[in-house]
Amino acid sequence: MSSVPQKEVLPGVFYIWKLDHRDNTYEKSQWAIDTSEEESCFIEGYTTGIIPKYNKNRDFLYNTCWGLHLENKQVEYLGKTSREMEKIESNTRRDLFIAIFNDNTNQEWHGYPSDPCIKPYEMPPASIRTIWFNKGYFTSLQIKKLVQRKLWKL
Amino acid sequence: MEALKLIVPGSYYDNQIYANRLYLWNLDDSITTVDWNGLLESITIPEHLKFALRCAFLESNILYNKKLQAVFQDREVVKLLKKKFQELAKYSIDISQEQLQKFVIRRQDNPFVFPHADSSAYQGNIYVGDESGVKVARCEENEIYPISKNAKRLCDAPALNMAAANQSLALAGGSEGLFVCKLDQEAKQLRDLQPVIKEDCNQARWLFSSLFSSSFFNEGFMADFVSERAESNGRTEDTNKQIKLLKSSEIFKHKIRYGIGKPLFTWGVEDKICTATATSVEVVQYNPEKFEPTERFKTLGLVKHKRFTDAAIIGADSALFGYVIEYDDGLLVINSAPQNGWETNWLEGEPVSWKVFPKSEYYSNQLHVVYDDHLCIHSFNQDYFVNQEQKLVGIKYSEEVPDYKLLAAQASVA
Repeated sequence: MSSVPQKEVLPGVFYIWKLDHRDNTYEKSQWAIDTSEEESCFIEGYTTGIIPKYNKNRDFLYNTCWGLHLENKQVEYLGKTSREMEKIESNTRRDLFIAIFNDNTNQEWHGYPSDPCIKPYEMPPASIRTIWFNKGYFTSLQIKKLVQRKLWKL
Repeated sequence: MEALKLIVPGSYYDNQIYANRLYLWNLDDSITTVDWNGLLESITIPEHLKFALRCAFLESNILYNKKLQAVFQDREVVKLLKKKFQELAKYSIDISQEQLQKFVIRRQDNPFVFPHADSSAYQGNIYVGDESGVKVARCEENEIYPISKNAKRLCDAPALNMAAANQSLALAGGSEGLFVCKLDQEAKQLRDLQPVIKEDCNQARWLFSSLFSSSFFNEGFMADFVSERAESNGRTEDTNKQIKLLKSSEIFKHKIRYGIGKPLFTWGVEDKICTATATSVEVVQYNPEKFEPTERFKTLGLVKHKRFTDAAIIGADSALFGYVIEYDDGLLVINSAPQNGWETNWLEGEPVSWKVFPKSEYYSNQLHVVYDDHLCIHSFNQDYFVNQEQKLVGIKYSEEVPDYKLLAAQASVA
């Protein structure tokens, strides 16, 4: 895994910036915000809520959270789909606005711009969607389109 | 003919209409159930328009009745009915908050997941789905809670969109494909869950006992349930149902240039399969009783509409009254009755949700659109006077349940 050294971003919580989501690696979505903004995005997601998940293929439990890039409490784009998706989607690289973060072990987290349009397991669950709606980050219209995979533009 | 409009005030996330009740999903994770008949009967309009109001919002099946077709041969009768609908269209039917409250049966906690992806009502049950699966709850007329407080998990398959029919629930599972939940007699328990189409699926719809899967990431696929006809004891019977998977390009006989954000979407409902582009809708008629491919999939033609836009098509559906196409900035309704070209209604503004009810007995002429601060119910009534056998726009009204449909239902329950 190519990454810069980890940093303790919250007490006992470590974050790793993975380089393959910044170096145009073919199959990886890419960050469009800088590393400090990525850190803020993770902290926002971590404090919003952590969802335990089970990986069926590898038979292990891990934690996930979802983050947003906020500017003046407005959701802004934070990344782009991978070059691989560009080929599939008729030379289009979509802007992405939700990040997904997973912990490996011992509160070591990493994350990347998520694409719930394509990958249902990257869709933030109902509990997170409700928090975002109640905080006013998304309208009911945007939430509905997000969950139906119709929202790809802010 | 102008569509009728009824406005229900309030901010909602979703809604359903079923068996004389209107269900409204509020933004605070509660559901309000409204006595729809009571509310409609409380509307003050002149006596001579009450029949038109009843057909428009309470019982669409009255004017679709086959026996009335003989009456419709009389042009004066048709003229009179059309005049009544046109006169009714001049009344803006805005329900006040006070009027609505009088007919609220109950406001209850939402027993389903919220915010969800889609809802459906079928055989006394309401189904609600999202990427985590589907929940079901009974909606009983005589219970204290209009929707049972105990919603049960029906399945874990993702459901971004649902379509109920044939004792089954078709689920659009995104990248996991299209699934069919076979339901028990009361349609509240799962009997079996089957993956039918493995390709990406954003919208699932029934074409009689076959299925169509629409997606932003592929051209669209149809699971055509093909029966083999066999002679048995002197009787012809449909046996050995097999699924034949067809790409849209095989149905339309040309390349379908799909892609996210493109002005193109392919879908199919009952007897019509459509592909919409920026300027037109191409229509193929599906006839499951025919076995010859050119008769089973008959090219009907192109419907050119006047609204040109290069905006992305993000959804589409079919009703008896026409086709509804969802763009980034509004809904385009193409009506089933041509008048100097195809009559269209442009409904400006992004809706929170919208739905049609082509399988409903009473509400098949309605389009429900939820906006930020109200629910707008459109009623289209031109289709009663359209020859159902020859129509290019909108699905064909069928009063009888065809044998193959019954067979499919029996097969799916078995």
